[in-house]
Amino acid sequence: MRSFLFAVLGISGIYVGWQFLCVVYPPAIIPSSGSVGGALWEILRDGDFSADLAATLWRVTGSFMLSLLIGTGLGILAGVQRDVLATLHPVMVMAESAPPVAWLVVAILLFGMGSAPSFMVGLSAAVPIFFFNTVSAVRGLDRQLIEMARAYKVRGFRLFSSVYLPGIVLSSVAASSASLSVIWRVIIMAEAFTSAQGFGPRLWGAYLYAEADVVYAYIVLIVCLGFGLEYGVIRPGSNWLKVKLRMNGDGK
Amino acid sequence: MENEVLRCIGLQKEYEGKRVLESFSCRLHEGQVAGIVGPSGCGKTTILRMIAGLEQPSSGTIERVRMHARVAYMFQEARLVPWFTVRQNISFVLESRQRHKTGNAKRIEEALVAVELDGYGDYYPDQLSGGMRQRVALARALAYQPDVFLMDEPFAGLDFPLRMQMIDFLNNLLKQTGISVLFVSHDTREIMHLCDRVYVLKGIPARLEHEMDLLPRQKRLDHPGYLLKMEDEMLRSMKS
Repeated sequence: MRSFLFAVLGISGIYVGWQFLCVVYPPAIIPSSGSVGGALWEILRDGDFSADLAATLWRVTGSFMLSLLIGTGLGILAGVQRDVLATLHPVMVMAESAPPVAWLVVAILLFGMGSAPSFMVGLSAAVPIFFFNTVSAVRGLDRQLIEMARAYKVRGFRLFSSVYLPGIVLSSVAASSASLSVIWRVIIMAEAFTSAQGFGPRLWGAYLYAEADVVYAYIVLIVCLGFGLEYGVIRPGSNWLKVKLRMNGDGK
Repeated sequence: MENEVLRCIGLQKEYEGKRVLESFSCRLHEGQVAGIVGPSGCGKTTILRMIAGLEQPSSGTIERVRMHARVAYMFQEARLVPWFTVRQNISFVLESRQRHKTGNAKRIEEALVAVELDGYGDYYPDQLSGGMRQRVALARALAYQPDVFLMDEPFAGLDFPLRMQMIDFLNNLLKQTGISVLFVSHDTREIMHLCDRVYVLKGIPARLEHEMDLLPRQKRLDHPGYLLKMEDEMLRSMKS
Protein backbone atom coordinates (compact mmCIF):
# COMPACT_ATOMS: atom_id res chain seq x y z
CA MET A 1 0.00 0.00 0.00
CA ARG A 2 2.85 2.34 0.92
CA SER A 3 4.65 1.72 -2.38
CA PHE A 4 1.39 2.26 -4.28
CA LEU A 5 0.95 5.65 -2.61
CA PHE A 6 4.48 6.65 -3.57
CA ALA A 7 3.83 5.51 -7.16
CA VAL A 8 0.74 7.72 -7.24
CA LEU A 9 2.87 10.54 -5.83
CA GLY A 10 5.41 10.11 -8.66
CA ILE A 11 2.73 10.17 -11.37
CA SER A 12 1.09 13.16 -9.73
CA GLY A 13 4.47 14.93 -9.80
CA ILE A 14 4.71 14.38 -13.56
CA TYR A 15 1.19 15.78 -14.01
CA VAL A 16 1.95 18.85 -11.89
CA GLY A 17 5.18 19.43 -13.85
CA TRP A 18 3.22 19.18 -17.09
CA GLN A 19 0.69 21.76 -15.89
CA PHE A 20 3.53 24.08 -14.97
CA LEU A 21 5.20 23.70 -18.37
CA CYS A 22 1.84 24.39 -20.08
CA VAL A 23 1.93 27.85 -18.56
CA VAL A 24 5.54 28.48 -19.61
CA TYR A 25 5.44 27.08 -23.19
CA PRO A 26 2.94 27.68 -26.01
CA PRO A 27 0.36 24.91 -26.80
CA ALA A 28 2.21 24.08 -30.03
CA ILE A 29 5.09 22.76 -27.87
CA ILE A 30 3.38 21.68 -24.61
CA PRO A 31 -0.39 21.31 -25.02
CA SER A 32 -2.74 21.30 -22.04
CA SER A 33 -3.79 18.02 -20.47
CA GLY A 34 -7.37 18.74 -21.52
CA SER A 35 -6.53 18.98 -25.22
CA VAL A 36 -4.29 15.88 -24.99
CA GLY A 37 -7.15 14.03 -23.29
CA GLY A 38 -9.46 15.08 -26.12
CA ALA A 39 -6.95 13.94 -28.75
CA LEU A 40 -6.56 10.65 -26.94
CA TRP A 41 -10.32 10.14 -26.98
CA GLU A 42 -10.38 10.83 -30.71
CA ILE A 43 -7.57 8.30 -31.28
CA LEU A 44 -9.43 5.64 -29.33
CA ARG A 45 -12.62 6.30 -31.30
CA ASP A 46 -10.81 6.29 -34.64
CA GLY A 47 -11.50 3.31 -36.90
CA ASP A 48 -7.78 2.68 -37.47
CA PHE A 49 -6.94 2.45 -33.78
CA SER A 50 -7.37 -1.30 -33.41
CA ALA A 51 -5.34 -1.96 -36.57
CA ASP A 52 -2.54 0.34 -35.31
CA LEU A 53 -2.62 -1.29 -31.90
CA ALA A 54 -2.46 -4.76 -33.43
CA ALA A 55 0.43 -3.78 -35.72
CA THR A 56 2.53 -2.29 -32.92
CA LEU A 57 1.73 -5.06 -30.44
CA TRP A 58 2.58 -7.70 -33.04
CA ARG A 59 6.00 -6.12 -33.63
CA VAL A 60 6.64 -5.64 -29.91
CA THR A 61 5.50 -9.07 -28.74
CA GLY A 62 6.99 -10.83 -31.78
CA SER A 63 10.40 -9.19 -31.25
CA PHE A 64 10.14 -9.90 -27.55
CA MET A 65 9.39 -13.60 -27.97
CA LEU A 66 12.07 -14.07 -30.63
CA SER A 67 14.63 -12.23 -28.48
CA LEU A 68 13.67 -14.38 -25.50
CA LEU A 69 14.14 -17.59 -27.47
CA ILE A 70 17.34 -16.59 -29.26
CA GLY A 71 18.96 -14.76 -26.32
CA THR A 72 18.11 -17.44 -23.77
CA GLY A 73 19.05 -20.33 -26.07
CA LEU A 74 22.42 -18.82 -26.98
CA GLY A 75 22.94 -17.77 -23.35
CA ILE A 76 22.49 -21.37 -22.15
CA LEU A 77 25.01 -22.63 -24.70
CA ALA A 78 27.48 -19.87 -23.81
CA GLY A 79 27.00 -20.43 -20.09
CA VAL A 80 27.82 -24.11 -20.45
CA GLN A 81 30.57 -23.89 -23.09
CA ARG A 82 33.33 -21.32 -22.63
CA ASP A 83 34.26 -21.45 -26.33
CA VAL A 84 30.71 -20.51 -27.34
CA LEU A 85 30.85 -17.59 -24.90
CA ALA A 86 34.19 -16.46 -26.32
CA THR A 87 32.68 -16.55 -29.82
CA LEU A 88 29.38 -14.85 -29.04
CA HIS A 89 30.54 -12.26 -26.51
CA PRO A 90 31.96 -9.79 -29.08
CA VAL A 91 28.92 -10.31 -31.34
CA MET A 92 26.56 -9.41 -28.50
CA VAL A 93 28.65 -6.44 -27.39
CA MET A 94 28.59 -5.19 -30.99
CA ALA A 95 24.81 -5.62 -31.21
CA GLU A 96 24.44 -3.78 -27.93
CA SER A 97 26.83 -0.96 -28.75
CA ALA A 98 25.59 -0.04 -32.25
CA PRO A 99 22.85 2.64 -32.08
CA PRO A 100 19.35 1.39 -33.04
CA VAL A 101 19.18 3.84 -35.92
CA ALA A 102 22.28 2.22 -37.46
CA TRP A 103 20.56 -1.19 -37.30
CA LEU A 104 17.45 0.42 -38.78
CA VAL A 105 19.36 1.70 -41.82
CA VAL A 106 21.00 -1.69 -42.33
CA ALA A 107 17.61 -3.42 -41.96
CA ILE A 108 15.96 -1.10 -44.51
CA LEU A 109 18.80 -1.82 -46.94
CA LEU A 110 18.42 -5.56 -46.34
CA PHE A 111 14.65 -5.99 -46.12
CA GLY A 112 13.10 -2.79 -47.47
CA MET A 113 10.06 -1.22 -45.79
CA GLY A 114 7.54 -3.13 -43.64
CA SER A 115 7.72 -4.95 -40.32
CA ALA A 116 11.05 -6.72 -40.84
CA PRO A 117 13.24 -3.68 -39.98
CA SER A 118 11.28 -3.21 -36.73
CA PHE A 119 11.88 -6.85 -35.82
CA MET A 120 15.59 -6.56 -36.58
CA VAL A 121 15.98 -3.42 -34.48
CA GLY A 122 14.00 -5.03 -31.65
CA LEU A 123 16.16 -8.15 -31.77
CA SER A 124 19.42 -6.20 -31.85
CA ALA A 125 18.35 -4.35 -28.71
CA ALA A 126 16.84 -7.20 -26.69
CA VAL A 127 18.79 -10.36 -27.61
CA PRO A 128 21.98 -9.15 -25.82
CA ILE A 129 19.97 -8.42 -22.66
CA PHE A 130 18.55 -11.96 -22.55
CA PHE A 131 21.90 -13.42 -23.56
CA PHE A 132 23.99 -11.78 -20.83
CA ASN A 133 21.32 -12.43 -18.17
CA THR A 134 21.14 -16.10 -19.11
CA VAL A 135 24.92 -16.53 -19.14
CA SER A 136 25.16 -15.14 -15.61
CA ALA A 137 22.14 -17.26 -14.55
CA VAL A 138 23.80 -20.44 -15.84
CA ARG A 139 27.04 -19.47 -14.10
CA GLY A 140 25.09 -18.82 -10.90
CA LEU A 141 23.25 -22.15 -10.89
CA ASP A 142 23.50 -24.13 -7.69
CA ARG A 143 26.55 -26.34 -8.31
CA GLN A 144 25.74 -28.46 -5.26
CA LEU A 145 22.37 -29.44 -6.74
CA ILE A 146 23.97 -30.30 -10.06
CA GLU A 147 26.59 -32.39 -8.29
CA MET A 148 23.90 -34.20 -6.28
CA ALA A 149 22.10 -35.01 -9.54
CA ARG A 150 25.34 -36.30 -11.07
CA ALA A 151 25.99 -38.48 -8.02
CA TYR A 152 22.57 -40.09 -8.56
CA LYS A 153 23.21 -40.39 -12.31
CA VAL A 154 20.50 -37.90 -13.26
CA ARG A 155 21.55 -36.58 -16.64
CA GLY A 156 20.33 -35.19 -19.95
CA PHE A 157 16.92 -33.66 -20.36
CA ARG A 158 15.78 -34.55 -16.86
CA LEU A 159 18.68 -32.67 -15.29
CA PHE A 160 18.19 -29.76 -17.68
CA SER A 161 14.44 -29.45 -17.15
CA SER A 162 14.50 -30.01 -13.38
CA VAL A 163 17.57 -28.08 -12.25
CA TYR A 164 18.97 -25.89 -15.04
CA LEU A 165 15.79 -24.56 -16.60
CA PRO A 166 13.93 -23.35 -13.47
CA GLY A 167 17.02 -21.36 -12.41
CA ILE A 168 17.34 -19.84 -15.86
CA VAL A 169 13.65 -19.07 -16.36
CA LEU A 170 13.54 -16.71 -13.41
CA SER A 171 16.48 -14.74 -14.73
CA SER A 172 14.81 -14.54 -18.14
CA VAL A 173 11.71 -13.11 -16.52
CA ALA A 174 13.87 -10.57 -14.70
CA ALA A 175 15.48 -9.64 -18.04
CA SER A 176 12.03 -9.44 -19.65
CA SER A 177 11.24 -6.19 -17.89
CA ALA A 178 14.37 -4.44 -19.20
CA SER A 179 13.98 -5.97 -22.66
CA LEU A 180 10.37 -4.99 -23.02
CA SER A 181 10.99 -1.33 -22.25
CA VAL A 182 13.89 -1.23 -24.73
CA ILE A 183 11.81 -3.00 -27.40
CA TRP A 184 8.93 -0.55 -26.96
CA ARG A 185 11.21 2.41 -27.53
CA VAL A 186 13.15 1.10 -30.51
CA ILE A 187 10.14 -0.39 -32.29
CA ILE A 188 8.09 2.80 -32.07
CA MET A 189 11.11 4.57 -33.55
CA ALA A 190 11.68 1.92 -36.24
CA GLU A 191 8.08 1.64 -37.39
CA ALA A 192 7.82 5.42 -37.62
CA PHE A 193 10.26 5.27 -40.54
CA THR A 194 9.41 1.94 -42.12
CA SER A 195 5.68 1.26 -41.76
CA ALA A 196 2.35 2.85 -42.57
CA GLN A 197 0.47 1.15 -39.72
CA GLY A 198 1.20 1.35 -36.00
CA PHE A 199 1.64 3.95 -33.27
CA GLY A 200 5.11 4.97 -34.50
CA PRO A 201 3.99 6.22 -37.94
CA ARG A 202 0.89 7.90 -36.38
CA LEU A 203 3.07 9.72 -33.87
CA TRP A 204 5.55 10.77 -36.55
CA GLY A 205 2.72 11.88 -38.86
CA ALA A 206 1.19 13.98 -36.09
CA TYR A 207 4.57 15.65 -35.56
CA LEU A 208 4.91 16.42 -39.28
CA TYR A 209 1.44 18.01 -39.27
CA ALA A 210 2.34 19.98 -36.10
CA GLU A 211 -0.46 18.34 -34.08
CA ALA A 212 1.23 18.58 -30.69
CA ASP A 213 -1.82 17.35 -28.76
CA VAL A 214 -1.99 14.20 -30.93
CA VAL A 215 1.77 13.63 -30.49
CA TYR A 216 1.36 13.80 -26.71
CA ALA A 217 -1.74 11.64 -26.84
CA TYR A 218 0.21 8.89 -28.58
CA ILE A 219 3.03 9.25 -26.06
CA VAL A 220 0.51 8.83 -23.22
CA LEU A 221 -1.01 5.84 -25.00
CA ILE A 222 2.36 4.16 -25.57
CA VAL A 223 3.41 4.75 -21.96
CA CYS A 224 0.08 3.34 -20.71
CA LEU A 225 0.50 0.21 -22.84
CA GLY A 226 4.06 -0.22 -21.54
CA PHE A 227 2.75 0.12 -18.00
CA GLY A 228 0.04 -2.43 -18.74
CA LEU A 229 2.51 -4.99 -20.05
CA GLU A 230 4.98 -4.40 -17.20
CA TYR A 231 2.49 -4.38 -14.32
CA GLY A 232 -0.17 -6.60 -15.89
CA VAL A 233 2.00 -9.34 -17.42
CA ILE A 234 5.72 -9.24 -16.54
CA ARG A 235 5.55 -8.52 -12.80
CA PRO A 236 2.67 -10.89 -11.98
CA GLY A 237 4.43 -13.55 -14.07
CA SER A 238 7.70 -12.98 -12.23
CA ASN A 239 6.00 -13.10 -8.83
CA TRP A 240 4.11 -16.26 -9.76
CA LEU A 241 7.36 -17.93 -10.80
CA LYS A 242 9.12 -16.87 -7.61
CA VAL A 243 6.37 -18.50 -5.56
CA LYS A 244 6.34 -21.59 -7.78
CA LEU A 245 10.12 -22.01 -7.61
CA ARG A 246 10.28 -21.25 -3.86
CA MET A 247 12.80 -18.51 -4.55
CA ASN A 248 12.06 -16.67 -1.33
CA GLY A 249 12.74 -19.64 0.92
CA ASP A 250 15.93 -21.29 2.12
CA GLY A 251 15.19 -24.87 1.34
CA LYS A 252 18.41 -26.49 0.32
CA MET B 1 36.11 -60.69 -3.07
CA GLU B 2 33.57 -62.77 -1.17
CA ASN B 3 30.78 -60.67 0.35
CA GLU B 4 32.63 -57.56 -0.66
CA VAL B 5 30.62 -54.82 -2.33
CA LEU B 6 33.42 -52.32 -2.79
CA ARG B 7 37.19 -52.42 -2.87
CA CYS B 8 39.51 -49.40 -3.19
CA ILE B 9 43.14 -50.16 -3.95
CA GLY B 10 45.96 -47.61 -3.74
CA LEU B 11 43.84 -44.53 -4.36
CA GLN B 12 45.88 -41.40 -4.86
CA LYS B 13 44.71 -37.92 -5.66
CA GLU B 14 46.64 -34.90 -6.86
CA TYR B 15 45.37 -31.38 -7.52
CA GLU B 16 47.59 -29.33 -9.82
CA GLY B 17 50.58 -31.50 -9.06
CA LYS B 18 50.05 -31.37 -5.30
CA ARG B 19 49.28 -34.73 -3.72
CA VAL B 20 46.44 -34.62 -1.20
CA LEU B 21 45.82 -38.35 -0.75
CA GLU B 22 48.48 -41.02 -0.46
CA SER B 23 47.70 -44.61 -1.46
CA PHE B 24 44.41 -45.29 0.32
CA SER B 25 42.94 -48.79 0.31
CA CYS B 26 39.77 -50.10 1.93
CA ARG B 27 37.17 -52.83 1.63
CA LEU B 28 33.47 -52.69 2.28
CA HIS B 29 31.53 -55.88 2.95
CA GLU B 30 27.83 -56.47 2.47
CA GLY B 31 25.84 -54.96 5.35
CA GLN B 32 28.96 -53.46 6.89
CA VAL B 33 29.22 -49.88 8.12
CA ALA B 34 32.79 -48.74 7.59
CA GLY B 35 34.02 -45.38 8.81
CA ILE B 36 36.77 -43.11 7.58
CA VAL B 37 37.93 -40.74 10.28
CA GLY B 38 40.56 -38.05 10.16
CA PRO B 39 41.11 -34.38 10.87
CA SER B 40 39.17 -31.76 8.87
CA GLY B 41 40.53 -31.20 5.38
CA CYS B 42 42.57 -34.42 5.23
CA GLY B 43 40.87 -35.76 2.09
CA LYS B 44 38.03 -37.89 3.46
CA THR B 45 35.46 -36.26 1.20
CA THR B 46 37.77 -36.69 -1.79
CA ILE B 47 37.71 -40.46 -1.25
CA LEU B 48 33.89 -40.51 -1.31
CA ARG B 49 33.77 -38.23 -4.35
CA MET B 50 36.09 -40.59 -6.23
CA ILE B 51 33.96 -43.61 -5.30
CA ALA B 52 30.81 -41.75 -6.43
CA GLY B 53 32.45 -40.91 -9.75
CA LEU B 54 32.39 -37.17 -9.14
CA GLU B 55 36.20 -37.09 -9.36
CA GLN B 56 38.76 -39.37 -10.95
CA PRO B 57 41.63 -40.79 -8.87
CA SER B 58 45.12 -39.81 -10.04
CA SER B 59 46.03 -43.47 -9.59
CA GLY B 60 44.59 -46.60 -7.99
CA THR B 61 41.42 -48.52 -8.68
CA ILE B 62 37.86 -48.67 -7.39
CA GLU B 63 36.19 -52.05 -7.84
CA ARG B 64 32.52 -52.71 -7.38
CA VAL B 65 31.19 -56.24 -7.21
CA ARG B 66 28.20 -55.55 -9.41
CA MET B 67 28.80 -54.05 -12.80
CA HIS B 68 26.06 -51.44 -12.39
CA ALA B 69 26.15 -51.14 -8.61
CA ARG B 70 23.99 -48.30 -7.32
CA VAL B 71 25.81 -45.74 -5.21
CA ALA B 72 23.85 -43.26 -3.10
CA TYR B 73 25.55 -40.19 -1.70
CA MET B 74 24.43 -38.22 1.32
CA PHE B 75 26.26 -34.89 1.48
CA GLN B 76 26.96 -32.58 4.40
CA GLU B 77 24.05 -30.47 3.15
CA ALA B 78 20.66 -31.99 2.32
CA ARG B 79 20.90 -30.69 -1.28
CA LEU B 80 17.17 -30.78 -1.95
CA VAL B 81 15.71 -29.13 -5.04
CA PRO B 82 13.88 -26.11 -3.54
CA TRP B 83 11.04 -26.10 -6.09
CA PHE B 84 10.27 -29.80 -5.62
CA THR B 85 8.17 -31.25 -2.84
CA VAL B 86 9.67 -33.90 -0.58
CA ARG B 87 8.09 -36.63 -2.73
CA GLN B 88 9.32 -35.04 -5.96
CA ASN B 89 12.83 -34.71 -4.54
CA ILE B 90 12.95 -38.45 -3.98
CA SER B 91 11.27 -39.30 -7.25
CA PHE B 92 13.79 -37.06 -9.07
CA VAL B 93 16.66 -39.50 -8.44
CA LEU B 94 14.59 -42.64 -8.89
CA GLU B 95 13.32 -41.90 -12.35
CA SER B 96 16.85 -41.58 -13.61
CA ARG B 97 17.42 -45.27 -12.94
CA GLN B 98 14.03 -46.76 -13.49
CA ARG B 99 11.86 -46.07 -16.46
CA HIS B 100 8.85 -47.84 -14.94
CA LYS B 101 7.37 -45.46 -12.41
CA THR B 102 4.87 -47.92 -10.98
CA GLY B 103 7.13 -49.20 -8.21
CA ASN B 104 8.54 -45.79 -7.41
CA ALA B 105 5.54 -44.42 -5.54
CA LYS B 106 5.62 -47.39 -3.15
CA ARG B 107 9.38 -47.06 -2.61
CA ILE B 108 9.02 -43.35 -1.88
CA GLU B 109 6.30 -43.94 0.69
CA GLU B 110 8.32 -46.74 2.32
CA ALA B 111 11.38 -44.51 2.50
CA LEU B 112 9.36 -41.69 4.06
CA VAL B 113 7.94 -44.08 6.64
CA ALA B 114 11.47 -45.35 7.38
CA VAL B 115 12.72 -41.83 8.16
CA GLU B 116 9.49 -41.03 10.04
CA LEU B 117 8.40 -38.37 7.57
CA ASP B 118 5.23 -40.00 6.32
CA GLY B 119 2.68 -37.23 5.90
CA TYR B 120 5.35 -34.75 4.77
CA GLY B 121 5.45 -35.86 1.13
CA ASP B 122 3.81 -32.70 -0.17
CA TYR B 123 5.90 -30.29 1.91
CA TYR B 124 8.59 -28.15 0.32
CA PRO B 125 12.15 -28.12 1.73
CA ASP B 126 11.78 -24.57 3.07
CA GLN B 127 8.87 -25.76 5.21
CA LEU B 128 11.06 -28.29 7.03
CA SER B 129 13.67 -27.98 9.79
CA GLY B 130 17.35 -28.77 9.17
CA GLY B 131 17.05 -32.22 10.72
CA MET B 132 13.96 -33.04 8.67
CA ARG B 133 15.70 -31.98 5.47
CA GLN B 134 18.58 -34.32 6.26
CA ARG B 135 16.04 -37.09 6.83
CA VAL B 136 14.56 -36.35 3.39
CA ALA B 137 18.08 -36.69 1.95
CA LEU B 138 18.32 -39.99 3.83
CA ALA B 139 14.95 -41.12 2.45
CA ARG B 140 16.12 -40.18 -1.04
CA ALA B 141 19.17 -42.39 -0.63
CA LEU B 142 17.14 -45.28 0.87
CA ALA B 143 14.54 -45.19 -1.90
CA TYR B 144 17.40 -45.39 -4.40
CA GLN B 145 18.10 -48.85 -2.96
CA PRO B 146 21.85 -48.48 -3.10
CA ASP B 147 24.43 -51.23 -3.07
CA VAL B 148 26.83 -48.77 -1.49
CA PHE B 149 25.73 -45.79 0.58
CA LEU B 150 28.28 -42.99 0.94
CA MET B 151 27.70 -40.61 3.84
CA ASP B 152 29.84 -37.50 4.08
CA GLU B 153 29.49 -36.01 7.57
CA PRO B 154 25.73 -35.78 6.98
CA PHE B 155 24.98 -34.42 10.44
CA ALA B 156 27.80 -31.88 10.64
CA GLY B 157 25.39 -28.96 10.30
CA LEU B 158 23.11 -30.08 13.13
CA ASP B 159 23.40 -29.18 16.80
CA PHE B 160 24.75 -31.80 19.20
CA PRO B 161 21.48 -33.24 20.65
CA LEU B 162 19.91 -33.46 17.19
CA ARG B 163 23.09 -35.02 15.82
CA MET B 164 23.10 -37.76 18.45
CA GLN B 165 19.38 -38.31 17.87
CA MET B 166 20.01 -38.67 14.13
CA ILE B 167 22.89 -41.10 14.74
CA ASP B 168 20.70 -43.33 16.92
CA PHE B 169 17.99 -43.13 14.31
CA LEU B 170 20.41 -44.01 11.52
CA ASN B 171 21.91 -46.83 13.52
CA ASN B 172 18.54 -48.52 13.92
CA LEU B 173 17.67 -47.90 10.30
CA LEU B 174 20.91 -49.41 8.98
CA LYS B 175 20.42 -52.43 11.20
CA GLN B 176 16.98 -52.99 9.65
CA THR B 177 17.96 -52.38 6.02
CA GLY B 178 21.40 -54.04 5.97
CA ILE B 179 22.80 -51.47 3.52
CA SER B 180 26.58 -51.28 3.12
CA VAL B 181 27.74 -47.85 4.24
CA LEU B 182 30.95 -45.89 3.98
CA PHE B 183 30.64 -43.15 6.58
CA VAL B 184 33.04 -40.22 6.74
CA SER B 185 33.49 -38.00 9.78
CA HIS B 186 36.05 -36.08 11.78
CA ASP B 187 34.00 -36.85 14.91
CA THR B 188 35.29 -40.02 16.58
CA ARG B 189 32.11 -40.30 18.66
CA GLU B 190 29.92 -40.55 15.55
CA ILE B 191 32.24 -43.19 14.15
CA MET B 192 32.24 -45.17 17.41
CA HIS B 193 28.46 -45.21 17.52
CA LEU B 194 27.88 -46.21 13.91
CA CYS B 195 30.75 -48.19 12.43
CA ASP B 196 31.91 -51.80 12.49
CA ARG B 197 35.28 -51.05 10.94
CA VAL B 198 37.30 -47.83 11.00
CA TYR B 199 39.99 -46.41 8.72
CA VAL B 200 42.00 -43.65 10.37
CA LEU B 201 43.63 -41.02 8.14
CA LYS B 202 46.30 -38.54 9.13
CA GLY B 203 48.88 -36.15 7.71
CA ILE B 204 49.29 -34.04 4.58
CA PRO B 205 49.06 -35.64 2.10
CA ALA B 206 46.59 -37.85 3.95
CA ARG B 207 47.57 -41.47 4.36
CA LEU B 208 45.94 -44.47 6.00
CA GLU B 209 47.40 -44.61 9.50
CA HIS B 210 45.38 -47.32 11.17
CA GLU B 211 42.60 -49.85 10.55
CA MET B 212 40.42 -51.10 13.40
CA ASP B 213 37.61 -53.62 13.69
CA LEU B 214 35.12 -52.76 16.42
CA LEU B 215 32.99 -55.06 18.53
CA PRO B 216 29.35 -55.37 17.44
CA ARG B 217 27.41 -52.31 18.50
CA GLN B 218 25.42 -53.83 21.35
CA LYS B 219 28.56 -55.25 22.93
CA ARG B 220 30.31 -51.88 22.51
CA LEU B 221 27.52 -50.05 24.28
CA ASP B 222 27.56 -52.57 27.11
CA HIS B 223 31.26 -51.80 27.72
CA PRO B 224 31.73 -48.03 28.04
CA GLY B 225 35.37 -48.66 28.89
CA TYR B 226 35.85 -50.30 25.49
CA LEU B 227 34.33 -47.29 23.74
CA LEU B 228 36.67 -44.92 25.56
CA LYS B 229 39.69 -47.11 24.85
CA MET B 230 38.95 -47.36 21.11
CA GLU B 231 38.17 -43.67 20.85
CA ASP B 232 41.47 -42.92 22.55
CA GLU B 233 43.28 -45.23 20.14
CA MET B 234 41.65 -43.50 17.20
CA LEU B 235 42.59 -40.05 18.46
CA ARG B 236 46.18 -41.13 19.12
CA SER B 237 46.45 -42.53 15.57
CA MET B 238 45.18 -39.24 14.14
CA LYS B 239 47.65 -37.20 16.16
CA SER B 240 50.72 -39.44 16.24
